[in-house]
Amino acid sequence: MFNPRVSPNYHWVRVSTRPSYQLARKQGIGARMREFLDFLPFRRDDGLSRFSFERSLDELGVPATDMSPEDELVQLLNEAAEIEQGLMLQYLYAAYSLKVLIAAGAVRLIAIEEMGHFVTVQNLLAACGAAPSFGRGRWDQGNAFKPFPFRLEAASVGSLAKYVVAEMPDPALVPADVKPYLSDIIALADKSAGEPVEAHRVGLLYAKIYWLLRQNDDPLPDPTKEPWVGFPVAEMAANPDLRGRHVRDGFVNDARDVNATPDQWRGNYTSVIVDPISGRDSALAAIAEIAAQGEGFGNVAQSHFGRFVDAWRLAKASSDLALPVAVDPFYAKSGGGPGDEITSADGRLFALMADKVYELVLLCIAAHLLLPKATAPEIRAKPAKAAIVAMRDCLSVLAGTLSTIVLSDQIQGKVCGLPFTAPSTPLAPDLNKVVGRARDVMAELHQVISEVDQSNASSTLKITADSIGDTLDDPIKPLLDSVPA
Amino acid sequence: MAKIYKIHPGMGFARVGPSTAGYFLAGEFPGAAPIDIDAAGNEVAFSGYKDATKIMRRQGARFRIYEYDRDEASGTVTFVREVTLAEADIKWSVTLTASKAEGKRMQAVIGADGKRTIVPSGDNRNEPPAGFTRADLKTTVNLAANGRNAGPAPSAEPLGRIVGRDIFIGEARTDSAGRLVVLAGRGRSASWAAPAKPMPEYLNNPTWYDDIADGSVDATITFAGQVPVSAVGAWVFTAPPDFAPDVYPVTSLFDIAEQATNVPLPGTLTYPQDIEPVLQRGANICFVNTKPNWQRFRDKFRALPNPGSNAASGQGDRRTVRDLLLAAASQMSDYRLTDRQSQILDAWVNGAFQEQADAARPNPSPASALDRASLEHCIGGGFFPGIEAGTVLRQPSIYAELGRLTRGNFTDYDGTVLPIAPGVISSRMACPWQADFTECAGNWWPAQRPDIAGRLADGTAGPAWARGLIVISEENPQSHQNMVDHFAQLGVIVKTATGFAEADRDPALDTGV
Repeated sequence: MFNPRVSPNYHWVRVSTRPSYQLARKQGIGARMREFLDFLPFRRDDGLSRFSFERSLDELGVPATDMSPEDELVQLLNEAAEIEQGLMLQYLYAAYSLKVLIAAGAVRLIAIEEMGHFVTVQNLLAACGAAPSFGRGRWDQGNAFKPFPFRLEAASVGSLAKYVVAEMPDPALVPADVKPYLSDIIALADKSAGEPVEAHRVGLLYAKIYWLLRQNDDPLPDPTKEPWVGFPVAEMAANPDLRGRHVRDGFVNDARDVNATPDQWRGNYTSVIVDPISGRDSALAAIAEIAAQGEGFGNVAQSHFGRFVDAWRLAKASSDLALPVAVDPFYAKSGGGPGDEITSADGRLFALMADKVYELVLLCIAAHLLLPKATAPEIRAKPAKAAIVAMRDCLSVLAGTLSTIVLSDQIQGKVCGLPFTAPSTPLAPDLNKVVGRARDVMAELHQVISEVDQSNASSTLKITADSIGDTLDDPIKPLLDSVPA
Repeated sequence: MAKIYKIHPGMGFARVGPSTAGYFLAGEFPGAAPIDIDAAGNEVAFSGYKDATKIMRRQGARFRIYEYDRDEASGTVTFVREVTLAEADIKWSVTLTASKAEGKRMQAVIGADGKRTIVPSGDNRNEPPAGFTRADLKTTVNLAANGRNAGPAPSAEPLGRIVGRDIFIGEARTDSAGRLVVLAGRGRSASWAAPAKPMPEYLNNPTWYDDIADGSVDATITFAGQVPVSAVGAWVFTAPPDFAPDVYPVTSLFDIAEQATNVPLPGTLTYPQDIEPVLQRGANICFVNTKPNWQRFRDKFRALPNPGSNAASGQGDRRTVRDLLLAAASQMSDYRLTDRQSQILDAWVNGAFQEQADAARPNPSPASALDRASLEHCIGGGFFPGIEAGTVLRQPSIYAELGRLTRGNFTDYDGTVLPIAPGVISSRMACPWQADFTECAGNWWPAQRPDIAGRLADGTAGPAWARGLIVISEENPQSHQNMVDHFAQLGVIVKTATGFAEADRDPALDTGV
């Protein structure tokens, strides 16, 4: 397995797409000329400029390291995986809190699509000979790319605004009917995040990944064939820190025999992007597709941005938007945190159960990605199905169940939510260890279910706990039996 | 007092089947057994869902004329009698249209209930191949039948044409009493591309078409010496076979229609009339679906000593059983009980029901019973896109009354006002239907497409119903193709003394397809 050097110290390389009159200003050409320049598009600051691709490239740039292009690509893909998982968890948490059903369904679908992005990034890592990346999605340790601080919270006008901004394309691509609302949305988003939402950093991350994947600095003979429409190829090539920095031929391999595939993962969620990687060209197409659907600067019909705007509008019109779920819930065994502690007996048991299921989701995805090349397709499909069952049929049920349990027996008004605690056992890129850990977690899960059965929990809660166990046994037991040692 | 005549059932469903060995009718009244109509048009004992070669037979949709008295002052309509050829001359006319290939590409959206559902997009499913126009992507047949035991000879079946190819989408016959029987096509699906294109998905498969259709059913009645009168028309749908006809949906199209037309709950809910049917239908789902909660629900329900008792002491047990049903339903994709059903179950848990049937509740007329029985066999969710019909049947304005569609305009999910027309409803279903049928497993619970062939005596799941047809996964294009080619050979899950079991699976499927 390819082990990249980890370098968290990124520097940013600016990419200028500005016209040359910027030079005249620096030469101190006088107040009247400055006034003239203020009227030029690049000089006007309407509060949206930080979301502009060109402006972001110019003022911040793309991330860069002192690694080789190959090492850097793997490093950045790891970052992308962490961002996608983090967004997915926060969006899912918000979806489960929503009482406006159509908004709940819409946000949940976006979360599922983020899962597709996450899985596609894993495919890219495999194509680069790298291990799957399940880095904790809390965006800790000064993550350079997080758009806002990680926070599991109920949906609100503010948090939905935050998600809108996180997914915002270049302002030039924002539909005309949305533009009048942008200032309000951005103000609400920044307030909700406690700091300016830096959505452009994710887009710039993907821009650098895309650049590294390109074969060379040259524009395509037919520029319309560039997968990332409007990518500033010449401008990037003009920068000496970026010129020539592309992964070598043969670095991105054909990984289709080990990659996640659409029929295994998306079922009839046809908007979910799960792209197997056959080489450089498909890698470029995959990155362009992810960027356009979500966190890049492009925009497509039915983008995350557009749908979050719709959800935000519904939120504004609603007088009863979401359940009073906890913020960043944790419980004693999960460790301390700045969020809301779950102290009710039922809440702690079900929160623990939810964390076991969450870990099983990650383990099943890891098993799916770590299966050897010769694995028969029907065997390879099993862990994918198990992960989907765990997410769709168990985590969603547990989210609903937790929302019926008070956070604390002493404090009224708040209910529990999925803690999404990072597994205490790091995920090793070793199939045997992953399967072994899955067996342990299943046993631990059944232990928790047994505790619920023996507790004073209501019959409804006991039924739920038992049904979670039965539901997971169905796909996971055969999986554990069928994965070759 | 004026006389009006209505065709019942207001919505009838005929199912495809390749067999040429006659046809049967599903039970026409709630709980009734299926029957055959023989070559003379007479009702005879049911001879089976399959013919002697284990190929699926067609299910007909039979329509009758009923007479009502209408009080012109109050508008009240009172059931009088059925009208057959013994009383009057009846001329039937049916217009069937198969238009999936010509229709819009269907897409998933989030509905007002937060669940996904399938609705038309703004794009077309197909562009016509060279030499053809859009009109060639669909076909309409105008059928007529009158007299006793009338209908086309086997060699003279009415044919439509899609992309220049003959296609049989249905026929109209009469029985020995002059009642109309609409029969569907043979379940043939094809791609006009050469070679045929693979089917990449469950819903929209370019160049593919099938013989599923829907359309109007009308009749002109002439009593001796009187001016002909037109009956209030009905609607007929052709649909895939029901491979588990004795396993009713928990939520059926009748429940959907009741919800959409705002039928109020009875003033007094009773266990046998209102509550038991919902519970009993849920208790049988485990024979066709592997999700553990359906079996758990059945076990807990059947273990209740007296589910029909409204005693307060039983509330805890009733709540447990209800919650198990909800747990099972919650794991089914894009599906939920109707509000009426949820209220009925709440009343059961709370003991707010009468243990005995309400003798004061008027018996439904034979006409109403036909309407109900026809719809109760059909799946009422998740509409992704559905089996017999889709989410459009949740639109209140599509109904003229409970169990009968309007003949005018209706308001679609997005507010668009559309005229009802033959082909509108069926065009929104999966094309071809076999692709969706293949994938309609697991957390999609329609019994028409079983996951398993019943259960063994110890309660463990029986073999996979579609075994032999699935290649790698249900989503694989070859799996879709296998369903196109071999659906009629699959077994039918039928009621037995001890539960449900598979019958008449063609042994040829087990020697490899």
